[in-house]
Amino acid sequence: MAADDLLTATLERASGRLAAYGYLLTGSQHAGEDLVQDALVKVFVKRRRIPNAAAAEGYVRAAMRTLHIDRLRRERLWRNAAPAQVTRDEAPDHAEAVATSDAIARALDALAPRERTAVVLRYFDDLTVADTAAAMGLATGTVKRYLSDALDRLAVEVGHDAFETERVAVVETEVRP
Amino acid sequence: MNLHDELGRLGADATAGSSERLASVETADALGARVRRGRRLRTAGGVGSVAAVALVAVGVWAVLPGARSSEPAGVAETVHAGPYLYQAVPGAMALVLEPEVMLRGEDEVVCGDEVTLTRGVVLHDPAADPGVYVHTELTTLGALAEEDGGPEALGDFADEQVWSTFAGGDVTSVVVKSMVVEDGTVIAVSGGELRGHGVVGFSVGGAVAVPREDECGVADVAADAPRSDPLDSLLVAQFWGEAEPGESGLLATIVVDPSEPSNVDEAPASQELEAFHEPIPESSSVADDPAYVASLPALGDDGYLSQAYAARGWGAGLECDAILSGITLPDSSRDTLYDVVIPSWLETGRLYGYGDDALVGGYPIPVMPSMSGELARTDPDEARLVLSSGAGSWVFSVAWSERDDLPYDPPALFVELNQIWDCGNGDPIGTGRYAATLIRPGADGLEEVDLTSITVVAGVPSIPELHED
Repeated sequence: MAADDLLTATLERASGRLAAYGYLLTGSQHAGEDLVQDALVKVFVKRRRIPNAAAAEGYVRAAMRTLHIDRLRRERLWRNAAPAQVTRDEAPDHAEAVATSDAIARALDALAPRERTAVVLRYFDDLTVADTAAAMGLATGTVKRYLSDALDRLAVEVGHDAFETERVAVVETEVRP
Repeated sequence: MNLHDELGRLGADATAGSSERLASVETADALGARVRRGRRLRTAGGVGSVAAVALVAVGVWAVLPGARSSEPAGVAETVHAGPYLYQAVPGAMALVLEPEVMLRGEDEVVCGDEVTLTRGVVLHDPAADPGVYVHTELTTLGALAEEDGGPEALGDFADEQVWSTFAGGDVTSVVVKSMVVEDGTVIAVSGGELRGHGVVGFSVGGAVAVPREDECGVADVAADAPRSDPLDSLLVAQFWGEAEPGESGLLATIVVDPSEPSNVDEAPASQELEAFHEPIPESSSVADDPAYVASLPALGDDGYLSQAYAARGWGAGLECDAILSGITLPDSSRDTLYDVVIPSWLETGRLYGYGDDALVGGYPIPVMPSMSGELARTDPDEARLVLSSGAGSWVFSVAWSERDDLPYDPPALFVELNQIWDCGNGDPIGTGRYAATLIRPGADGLEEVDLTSITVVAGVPSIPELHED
């Protein structure tokens, strides 16, 4: 499949899921869409043997995670260097208005970006704590603390012991011929 | 409650409309363009080396040692043909109003295009007198390096077949590519290209690689891709400029076919070169030179602000293609008219944030030392600053604001310059001197303002507290 066709097929197949993933990572619908687009470019600029759109979706999700964590790291550097500059006025986000009506959304919004990212990687991507730590470039102890603090906040919103532990696969897989 | 499911539901609920936007034809087209550009940059040796593609100076040649990501295959046949000289002289030009090929823009040539290329000098505007020329020869990087200190450092790339080329004229923009056309169909296009942008009367010099078979400009080149026969390749140069004052467009194309003789015998007319992007002073790290930094005019001093040479209406809007193809670079021989609230020198730290890995956008740059209290913030989508050199053009959004809350600056009028990464050169701008054009709202709509050159220096010397960190 040509690269442009595969790109289009990936968008048609997975744009909703990727946008949702972008929102969960960034907390903003528009920032999430930007993240999806940046990740698509990153994946498709490098010529790879990607067999189909399902596989491409996996690549894009991985790229989104990497890009997002990289941006968190950059912003932290910048926050230390020029604290006055990181406060930005963003346009009202319709998605945020919808989301804040949700208890979990409120809890997520209250988390620091790194805590939020740790939650998404651990409980949405179903990474292990060790893999989450590796992806974020943090010690496992730090990730455990982020997760513990985050779950405490989530529990306040939705009630203690509200979450099951079993996880399911995130990306659909295509049946091979 | 399953947190995974809850997160999934939350994400789906919060992204209504995203799927349609992302899957739209417009988004797919835009992403496709970004992908093609990214691949082109990779093919040209990686993002970090693109600035070396073209240098605005006759006598300097630029090579693309990274253009091949791995060892070239096969045994190279040394080739030397030429030199060929094509010059826009009366009686030795063709007039073809509709260009037969485009080397940039939406219709940029790609493999599979069917073309009929008129060899020699082709004018596209009967009113134009662009005085263009191409001086080129087929050779190898190794042979070029013989003239420049020895080919040893090139390793296997010494056998790379190239068109060693100088091109210029009374134009403002030049793009040169090599391609192979078989039975009227483009079957290979060089990933690397020679590209220049300067004031009228400039030249670019460099080496344009003969494309390998199946190399298609935007694509990576397979390690074992065989070489094209260089004598089957063409060198195509296109020239943009003003046929009439205020009207910029494609003026001429020169197609060099190694199987055909030059159209003139004499050497090209000497060009008055405007060598933008010279390293300043000797070191590229100007911030390390306290004397140089100290010599730059301070906020409020004469010379701190850029000045306008000329201004004219701009009806092309702020779309990237319109800007890159439409701007006219300043004529620095004219008298300046008035100050413009853009600094005459910029620090990379304030353009991109501070630190090696902190490309987070423009930090406010003071432009006027006092505040009126009336300006909250202009819309960054209303103005563009274009900085141009032989290495390309960098495009920035521009927003002015009055601020009194910055930790390292007194209350003042500030400008924020945010690079538009998918427009023009996609690298952070390097230190150097650049031709500058501002497109901003005027009394009768957008206007294009020719500015005095702008110097970019490294670091954040105006914020020593940060610089010391």
